[in-house]
Amino acid sequence: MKNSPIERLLNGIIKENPTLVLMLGMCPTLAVTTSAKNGAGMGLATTAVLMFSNLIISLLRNFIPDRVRIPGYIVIIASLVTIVQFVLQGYVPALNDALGVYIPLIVVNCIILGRAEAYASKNSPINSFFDGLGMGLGFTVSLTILGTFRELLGAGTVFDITVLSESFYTPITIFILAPGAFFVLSCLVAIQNKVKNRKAKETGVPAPAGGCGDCSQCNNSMCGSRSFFDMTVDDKKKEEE
Amino acid sequence: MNALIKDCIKLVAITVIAGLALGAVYGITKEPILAQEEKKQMEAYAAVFPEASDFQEVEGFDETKAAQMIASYDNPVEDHAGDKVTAAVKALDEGGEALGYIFNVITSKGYGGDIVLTVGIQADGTVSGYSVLSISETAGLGMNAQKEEWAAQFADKQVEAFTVVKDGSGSGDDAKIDAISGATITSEAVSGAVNNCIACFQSIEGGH
Amino acid sequence: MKELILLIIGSAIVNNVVLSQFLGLCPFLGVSKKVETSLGMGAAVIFVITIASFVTALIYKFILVTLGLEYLQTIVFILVIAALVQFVEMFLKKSMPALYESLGVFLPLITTNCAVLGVALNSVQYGYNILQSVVYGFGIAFGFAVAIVILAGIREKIEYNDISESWNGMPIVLVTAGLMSIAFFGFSGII
Repeated sequence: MKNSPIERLLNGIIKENPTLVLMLGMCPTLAVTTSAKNGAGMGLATTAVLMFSNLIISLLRNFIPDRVRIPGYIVIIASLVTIVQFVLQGYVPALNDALGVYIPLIVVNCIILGRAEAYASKNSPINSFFDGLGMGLGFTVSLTILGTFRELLGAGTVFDITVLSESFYTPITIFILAPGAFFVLSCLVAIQNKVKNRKAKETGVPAPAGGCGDCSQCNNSMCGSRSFFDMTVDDKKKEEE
Repeated sequence: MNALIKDCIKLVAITVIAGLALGAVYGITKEPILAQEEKKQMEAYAAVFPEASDFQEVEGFDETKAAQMIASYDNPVEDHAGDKVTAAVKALDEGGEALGYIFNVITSKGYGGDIVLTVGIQADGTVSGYSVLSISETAGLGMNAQKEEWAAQFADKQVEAFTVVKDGSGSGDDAKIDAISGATITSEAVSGAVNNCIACFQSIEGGH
Repeated sequence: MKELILLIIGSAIVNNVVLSQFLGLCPFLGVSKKVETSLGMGAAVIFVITIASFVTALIYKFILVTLGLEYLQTIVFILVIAALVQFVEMFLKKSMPALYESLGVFLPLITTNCAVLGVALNSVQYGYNILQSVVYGFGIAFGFAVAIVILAGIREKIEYNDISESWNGMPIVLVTAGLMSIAFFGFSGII
């Protein structure tokens, strides 16, 4: 069961959900979840990129030299993102308009480089593909949930269908504005902390320190804490030696 | 050193292949993207003139001339001299009679970049409404300019120009538009752009 | 001139990059524990974004547009930004060690700061010329610096407060950021 495609799929959606558990990719999470539709669309676009970037990087894992792997990954990811952008423009223009600049910004989403580094560069193509699919779906699910919450509270609709009629519910517009994003996310993290703390008490193991928010301390992914060209860092060390 | 060169060559190879692949995809998706834009444009035309059966470009329409006209036009909504009218189209009914004109206008006065509108004006100068081609305002505030309820304030009004009011007095007066609450900038951007289209219409009708 | 000043105010305060566009959230939340480090980060971001927006605007205008390769913008921009940060780091280390001392540690953090790429892409989308792009980039980065320093100031005070266990740490910081975001909404009337 360990490391099979199905295990990977479930791992991404539940156990290591990128948004709710690993706290990766916060920028798009907050920015595009103004409605359930946008959240789902962004999630699916990211999923598409993630599946294929994992697949390609895994296929090329013996070809890409270690020292220039990060720029190599970036090139692959950026190309995939641009392809997704073309496809959206050509076939789903409404979504492309709604997501705007956040589509090209998928390139700098930590989830994608993080998975390339942490998983695809070390595992077989099929598993990597499903890892990407799982992670992407996990991201999609959490973005859709966030979007649904914000849309419901902020506009009284879900997927553009009126749920809370304006006759008895005045939409709290702030939830679809920028501050609402911070508030909804803070509640989510607080709930997550609660769960973690309870688990820590049960097992006696202290809870691990907060997620990606603490970028300065996180080493496990490309969350901005790593030098972009690892090669130069290594080379510098060599030079100094 | 050799290893470094080898690494670089591999990286360049990846980049070149990626670039070529992108070029190929671009070639494939170019047509559908253009088709989508066309379709969107036609839908916008149909939205502002549902009764029209054919659309025909206005002969002799010139973007630079339109820009000069707008620059000299005294728009009651301030700062709209830089708007661009990029297309003027005649809406024709089944018998080929002109029902009115349709203009595409771009204004940079929005809150989040350019707003592109398609504005329809009937032959007697009545604004038949507008349809948004591209907008990236704040969700929940400026984005409401796309909503039917707000856009309806412009529909079927025969006025010289619109002004934006914030005190809710717009419903009594055809020429006054109630601002979207919390999005005065967007409201003014849209109203100013519509005014420019009215001015364009008048100058075409006036034979200029 | 008036246009440019409005552009700076607009991009720095009214459309604040983190508080209303959510770009560069990672460093905003991650490096805002102390006012001193946040000042360093802010300065580094101003430095890098201003240069990066100049370089990307040049490349876009003179290479991509001339060759009709606008569709390669994302891939070109990200590579240019990454290389640029690396160069800036090497250059500072060699020629301005004092500045490197204070900004150096933050530079690698900036590459994956989506604000840099976001600024470059937005300048293209808004159709800015080269001067406008640079001014816009500077404004955005300045807004980032202002926001991160304010947040750090508040966080230094929050340290001493008694916050319930679940809300301690990231959640309370997010709430603070949300309140700041509301405060910045108040500026939207000024342009």
